[in-house]
Amino acid sequence: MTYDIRALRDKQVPDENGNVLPPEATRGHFKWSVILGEEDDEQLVMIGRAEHFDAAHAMSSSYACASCCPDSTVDSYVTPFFTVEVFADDIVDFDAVEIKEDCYGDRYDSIRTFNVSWNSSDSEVTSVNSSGTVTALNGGESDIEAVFSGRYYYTQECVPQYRPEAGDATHDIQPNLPGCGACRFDPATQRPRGRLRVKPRITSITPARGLIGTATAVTIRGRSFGSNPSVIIGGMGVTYSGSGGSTTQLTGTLNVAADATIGDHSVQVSNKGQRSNAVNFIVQLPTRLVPFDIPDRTTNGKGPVVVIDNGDIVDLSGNVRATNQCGVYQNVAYVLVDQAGQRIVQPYTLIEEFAFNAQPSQTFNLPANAIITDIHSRSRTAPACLGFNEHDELVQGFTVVAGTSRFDLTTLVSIRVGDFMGTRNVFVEISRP
Amino acid sequence: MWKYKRRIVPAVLAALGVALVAYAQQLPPPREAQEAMRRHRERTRGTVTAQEALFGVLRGLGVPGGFVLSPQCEEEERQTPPGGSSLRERLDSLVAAAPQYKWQAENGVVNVVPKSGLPALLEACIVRFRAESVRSPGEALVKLIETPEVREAMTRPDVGSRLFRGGVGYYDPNPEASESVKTFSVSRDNVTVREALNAIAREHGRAMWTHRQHHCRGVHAFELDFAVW
Repeated sequence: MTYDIRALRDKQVPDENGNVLPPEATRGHFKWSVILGEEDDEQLVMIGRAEHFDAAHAMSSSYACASCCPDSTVDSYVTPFFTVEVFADDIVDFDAVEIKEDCYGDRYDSIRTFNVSWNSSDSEVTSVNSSGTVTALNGGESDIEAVFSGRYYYTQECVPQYRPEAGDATHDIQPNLPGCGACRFDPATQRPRGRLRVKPRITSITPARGLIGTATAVTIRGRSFGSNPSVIIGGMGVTYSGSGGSTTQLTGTLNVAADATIGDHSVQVSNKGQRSNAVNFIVQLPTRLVPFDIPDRTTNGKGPVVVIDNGDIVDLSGNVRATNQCGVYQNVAYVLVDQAGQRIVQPYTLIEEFAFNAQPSQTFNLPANAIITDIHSRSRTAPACLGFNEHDELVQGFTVVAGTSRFDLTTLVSIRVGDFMGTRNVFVEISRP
Repeated sequence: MWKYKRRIVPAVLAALGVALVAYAQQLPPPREAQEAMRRHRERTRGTVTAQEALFGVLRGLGVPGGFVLSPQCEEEERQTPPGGSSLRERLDSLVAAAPQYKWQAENGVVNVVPKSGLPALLEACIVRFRAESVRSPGEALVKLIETPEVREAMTRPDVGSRLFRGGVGYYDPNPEASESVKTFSVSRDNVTVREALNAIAREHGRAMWTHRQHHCRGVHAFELDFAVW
């Protein structure tokens, strides 16, 4: 039997593993085996043999190797070898690596590129395609298993034969005896496994700030929250109660206790023991008021001083608060900010109180995103008007009630409004220590 | 001599003007303002005036109402917030601590009024009061004050003009998306001013009106405003 190795190379004929000879190969070690057919024990085995004849020098030599079986599959693993931690939507390529052993007992690793099937132990966590490409789906841990058929080859032992003419016993291969010296194999199915830890991914929490002592409705958006996610809040005094959601969005309420830690609280989503990245939710402490500019209405938080003899007093929303007034007024606008100067947009209750010229305090519920407005005024319904030097002198302070807690703001507003020696005016100074 | 007078008079007037401006602008320095507010809070914390107490009770239980301050020139006495669980218990507690007042309820609106009687303005009778599609009790109040009967009452010396001293509110940058733009209407014939005020509070549902009569230091005026929650 003759093999045309050049033809095998040029025609790129694959071997049992699908490998081909490099087209440019001109020399090297060529290793081959012929095995006995699986179904036919009677098939003759062939061994490698080379015959050299040198007719010119009347020399010849003959080389025959012992029966060398194909390389056996002795073990396997997958790469990545160690457990991989990924976030949702990440893709990881797995390879099945076959550890093979040649007939000399030498081992080597060979990536198995054919006839490998792939499985995920938890289809909620990962999916894997036929090429071993794994997609992280939801939080959790999943084994990725490669399954392929390997073979462990062995040589059929020859029955020692006694040759009386030689006077000895031999283990020589007897190729013409069926089975003797033939390669046989046992199935060596391989199931190597790798492991993937998939972490949910949070992309945003809205709003990312909440007022101390109140409940803030939040939406957590991201990926891979899974079928039974839980929300973990760091720090003290903030808890989450969920109201609904999906694998990409959770809705619920962050309940911020009156004694919660001010500032950052980490928020993570966990599913099947795997925690997401952390995003921050900031607990806001009402601290002070900051003048706010409403376009065309206030500058540095103040509207113009308006002196009226028989006119309407109009607030910053355009509402007429009093008609036919004689006096003076000025609108002002503020927003409430927290310890970091960030605006507080949740609803809260504002109490204004006055020192010096004690007026009753006013309690006011502010809706979300509202801008605080105030009118500093002293006026009377015309034809009456302010008396000579009739004015108010006030120091105005503010307290925010959030939940059951009260927070005195540092902002104080000193106000003088009314008639000053026959001149009507408003003087306002805002101090924000 | 005359030429000196021509120089001195303008100079004196200018000096007076500067002094006047300086006087008018004389706001308490921040440290003094802080100290005043600190003392005020220290003195008042944990206590409320009767007006504040009623507002707290009504706000807590979601009941509209009105408050008529006793005519006095001094600062209102303070009390601890009213105890009790029911509206009746709290109102009883409130007037027990401020015995110059009594409370009464009419058609779901609670009024706390002086035992000595109502001010003349609140007793004035209005033939026809209409406040159509108003957005706030304050807007309805403006229409009430514009009625001829209230206008006429304000000419009486025991009523005086309305004194307006402003107050806190809010500006909604996106009013279309806000629930706060709900409108309401009030329509009453042959009612007193107090009944009209109660009707406004009732229709709004979350409001308390306050009347305060001033006859102090030469000022004869009244304050009439709504607070909402």
